Amino acid sequence: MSGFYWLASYPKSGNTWLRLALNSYCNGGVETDFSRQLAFAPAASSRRRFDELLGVASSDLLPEEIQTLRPRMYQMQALAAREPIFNKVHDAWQLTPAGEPLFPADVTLGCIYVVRDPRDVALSLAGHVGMDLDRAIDFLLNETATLCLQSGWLLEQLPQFLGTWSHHVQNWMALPAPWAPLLVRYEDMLAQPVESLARIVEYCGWGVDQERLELTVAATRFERLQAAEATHGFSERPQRSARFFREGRSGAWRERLTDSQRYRLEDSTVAMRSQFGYS
Amino acid sequence: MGDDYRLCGWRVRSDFPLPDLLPWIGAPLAPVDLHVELGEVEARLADLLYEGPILQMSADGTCRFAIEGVAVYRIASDGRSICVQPHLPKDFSALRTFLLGSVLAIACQRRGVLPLHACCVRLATPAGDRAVAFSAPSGVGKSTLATAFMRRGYSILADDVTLLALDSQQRTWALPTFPRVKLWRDTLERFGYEAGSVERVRQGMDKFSVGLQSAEFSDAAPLELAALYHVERVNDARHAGQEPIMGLGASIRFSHSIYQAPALMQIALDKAAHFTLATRMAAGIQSHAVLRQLSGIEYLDGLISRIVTLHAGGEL
Repeated sequence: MSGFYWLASYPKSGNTWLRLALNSYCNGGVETDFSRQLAFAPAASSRRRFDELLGVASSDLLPEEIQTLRPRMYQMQALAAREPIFNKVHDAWQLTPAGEPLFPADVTLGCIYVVRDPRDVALSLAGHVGMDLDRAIDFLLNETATLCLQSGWLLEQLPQFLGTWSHHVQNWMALPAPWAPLLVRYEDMLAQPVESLARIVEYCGWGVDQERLELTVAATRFERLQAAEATHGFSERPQRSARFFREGRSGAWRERLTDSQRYRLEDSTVAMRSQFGYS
Repeated sequence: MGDDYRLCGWRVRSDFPLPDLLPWIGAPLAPVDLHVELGEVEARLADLLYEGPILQMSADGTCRFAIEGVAVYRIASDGRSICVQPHLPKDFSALRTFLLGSVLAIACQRRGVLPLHACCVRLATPAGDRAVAFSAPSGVGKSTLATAFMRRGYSILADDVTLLALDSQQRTWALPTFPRVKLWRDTLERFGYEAGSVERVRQGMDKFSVGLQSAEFSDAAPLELAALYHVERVNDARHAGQEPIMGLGASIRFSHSIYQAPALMQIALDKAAHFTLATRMAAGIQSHAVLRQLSGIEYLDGLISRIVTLHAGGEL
């Protein structure tokens, strides 16, 4: 019996970068092999894992039935595990239709929540899925926003309800133990990568080794990831997007959002932005 | 009195209509191989060996499969009868969906027939017609690939779950299942079907069950499985390609491709026998390969031509 560390974030907030860094750190600070799929911290919304553990085809289930059963999948997996399991999560923290937490308390070891300035998230999202900026902003402000909705076609991930960006951040942040997350700002990961990673590594209960931290930070520096993608491609890049590792900096929104786009997004995210210093 | 159908060459008798299956055309006095009955199913099986959220298994090998609001199913330990207690009498399509999916997979396993999460197509080879299967997890496009093969004039044996049996010479055969493909609305419309004219897999779901024409379904007899391709979808042309796998690697990939493999292993009464059967079946297939296919329906035609040519030339 073990449990989960949930690596949670709104999409395009640095979750993949965090997974690459943790993967590198556990392997001694190595560079990532981009010719293979990243196996570290697979998605908590894996359709395959759900179907195989529960013995039912999720593609024949209604979204609310899937949500109701997901906690059972995590409990079954934790029961069989000897080591902590790391999973990537984009779902908003939520209760299932049966009224229990989607990520059960009894198998939660901890959470790391990565937050990023929503104005940069909108830019990154637009580039990632090939939508225009106005639609990306609509998505961040959409109270019913859901990834991989099973309507019209099927994807390899289960449906993931997000809600608005503000709702997502607020819900995860406000959680009590065992979820009470270690909060990591994307901007801090950029500006103070070694210190940020050290906090995360310590939170995960791993030994903090300064030399290994520095190797990891060097191996997962944005330019290195971009170069590796240029050579080998990256298995998690969507087809419509030219590359996965696009800009990786903070504040690009200042040059790219029009005033009206910026005001629309800012007006709806005032409270949460002020908590993180995204003025 | 029920209706009689054929499935995997078996005579199936059902207390309620199963329009997905073809009618029985064998000898009128042939014994019934699988009986689907309506009746009450207990909330908890006696002598439970395994109890999961959906599946239960008792010490004698009887299984219970439940989808709340749809139906509960009890599968006899010899896989020769299935008792169904419907919750939703009005949504018989949902009841049939689980019956012909997970429930049938369990019944098959109990009869030494292994369900593979794969679509299966009939192709010509120098040695005669053979079955070729494409396995992939849900959402990768097995039904889409099966439909694309049909559009090119090839018939299929299965669209989502391919049923395999081993013969006395240790060769692996694909059994004909039933003439249906399940397509989501987007694919359905791309292939020119009218969503209004086909049955939904379940009420409120955007997934449809399309009945096939006789030329689209290979119903005649089991076919020897010549090749198994493990399809992985990639987004980058640099990751695309085909790679043969052999020996232990092929055996492991095969085991992982068994339909809902961990759940089926969990409820295998004799786990060693289940594993041995899987290993033998993998060995009984002539060729295994990993196929990394670029995402997109527009690339399927090229893939089909390549596979058809490969098998027609016997270049395996």
